[in-house]
Amino acid sequence: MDDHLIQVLSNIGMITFIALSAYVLLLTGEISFGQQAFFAISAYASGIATAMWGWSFWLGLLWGAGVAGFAAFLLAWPTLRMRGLYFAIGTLAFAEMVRLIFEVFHYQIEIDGEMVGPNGSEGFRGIRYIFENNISEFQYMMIIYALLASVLVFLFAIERTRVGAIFRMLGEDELLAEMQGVNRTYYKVMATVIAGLIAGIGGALFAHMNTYVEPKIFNVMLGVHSLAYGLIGGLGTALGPLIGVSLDIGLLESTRMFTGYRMVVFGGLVAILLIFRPRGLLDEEAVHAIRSAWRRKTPSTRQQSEIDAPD
Amino acid sequence: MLQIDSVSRSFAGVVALRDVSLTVAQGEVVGLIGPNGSGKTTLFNVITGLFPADHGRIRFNGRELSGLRPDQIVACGLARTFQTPRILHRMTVRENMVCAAYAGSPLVQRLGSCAQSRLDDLLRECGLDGRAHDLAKNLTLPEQRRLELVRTLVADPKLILLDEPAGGMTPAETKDKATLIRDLAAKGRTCIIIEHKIDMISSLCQRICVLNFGKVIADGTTVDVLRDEAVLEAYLGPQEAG
Repeated sequence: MDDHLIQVLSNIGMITFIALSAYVLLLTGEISFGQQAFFAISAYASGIATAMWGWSFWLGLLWGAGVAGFAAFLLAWPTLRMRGLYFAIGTLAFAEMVRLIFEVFHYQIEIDGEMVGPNGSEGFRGIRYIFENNISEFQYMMIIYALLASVLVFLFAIERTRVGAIFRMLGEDELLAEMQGVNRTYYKVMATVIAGLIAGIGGALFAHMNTYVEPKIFNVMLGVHSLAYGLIGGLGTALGPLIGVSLDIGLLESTRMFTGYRMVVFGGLVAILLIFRPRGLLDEEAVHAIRSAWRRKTPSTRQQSEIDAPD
Repeated sequence: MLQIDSVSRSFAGVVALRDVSLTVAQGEVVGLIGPNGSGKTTLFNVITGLFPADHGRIRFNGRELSGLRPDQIVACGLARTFQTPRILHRMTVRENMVCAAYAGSPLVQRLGSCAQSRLDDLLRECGLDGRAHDLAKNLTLPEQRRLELVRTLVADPKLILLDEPAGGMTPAETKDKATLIRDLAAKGRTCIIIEHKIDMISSLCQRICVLNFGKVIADGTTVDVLRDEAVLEAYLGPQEAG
């Protein structure tokens, strides 16, 4: 496979994690501009684990995602009382705080005569586990997509359970959800932590593919994009963010069709979709239409094809 | 079953409820009426924990509700509908029911496949079985109100608070809705109904409580309350009432 294609596909896969992270919160009705913080936290944490502490990639990935999930848990508490715009601003402030902390974060040790570790705004170089262990770019891409498939299966499974129904219920009418017995706090914290974990997986993959990370990568634009991907692809299914990322990175950025104007086209696309399909291409209505068509085609699968299958 | 003792609630100095006391016994169907802005919906909001009361106590089946979250109050066996029907528009009718089952009723969750058939039965009883797989946003207003009502039954509540269940409906639709509520009452469910349609209220309720400017001005049998001078004055003004 062509190296450029592998790189593009790998980028699509990695960025889909952060888009899925924003999507989980969008399901519960919260707009987060701060998912890049968990992406960054995991990138640094997993990089430190493999490059400085000598951990294996998988352990480093688990550690990075875990630290990001814990950070999300810590963020969930102070932001719980915030809703709508205030929550969005709260998450943005948190993400900027994290980025600025990494700007001054120094933690280096000498390995084979070379200083390795985060070095403030210079970034963190030498996260070379993948190359030192002879994992090819193609193999790494397969790892990315295996993990992405696992996360998507997890999200599809969640959508068919009580938790998924409650997430969507909170997203559509929080007051109604509460009046039907939903503990809002509990489920919002759960969604925030799941979102943090998913962004964390993406962050760890990102750090090991690029071999270095620096704070400016995790700026607000990454958060805005991750949010926009879900809104472009659609909020009716977890495939929506993947479609959004594929459109932006796969079509606009990689084909270089709109060189210099990519952000103009991307912004225009977001604006047009927000007017005509405010919940994205594969919104709930589109998913319902697909399901109905499927149900008509295969009546015997009626019970299985609905989110309301028995637990 | 429900005891409301001297409950008050103000919003930025405007008194919405003033020392409201009301007792509802098991199996009773009580009408809560009053002119617009008299505090009826605020009382429902205070009972269900959306707004805390400034003063007073609310007890339900002997349990103090003050200080509980709305979901904890619902878990005690209360359910409510809203003045403007609140349904999950982006979901199908059946998904609305499933969400109600998932949200608040551990019993329904444990029932598994039996619960699925129970949801189908409930939809059939209220005539929505034919629309089970339609998006809720495509329902007509009476259908939305029916869905809202039948959804409250999923959790098998002991007390149902109905906020203008026939609001915006034609006389024929109102009659259908009254029949549906009468069936509920016949099955022993306790209800408090806010409604402006006096015919409907008088046909459904044995007892009526009247609020005006946040204060209870009458509480008694339907016949007595509808003849009460203070009630007539509240609705018609002093001269017309006289």
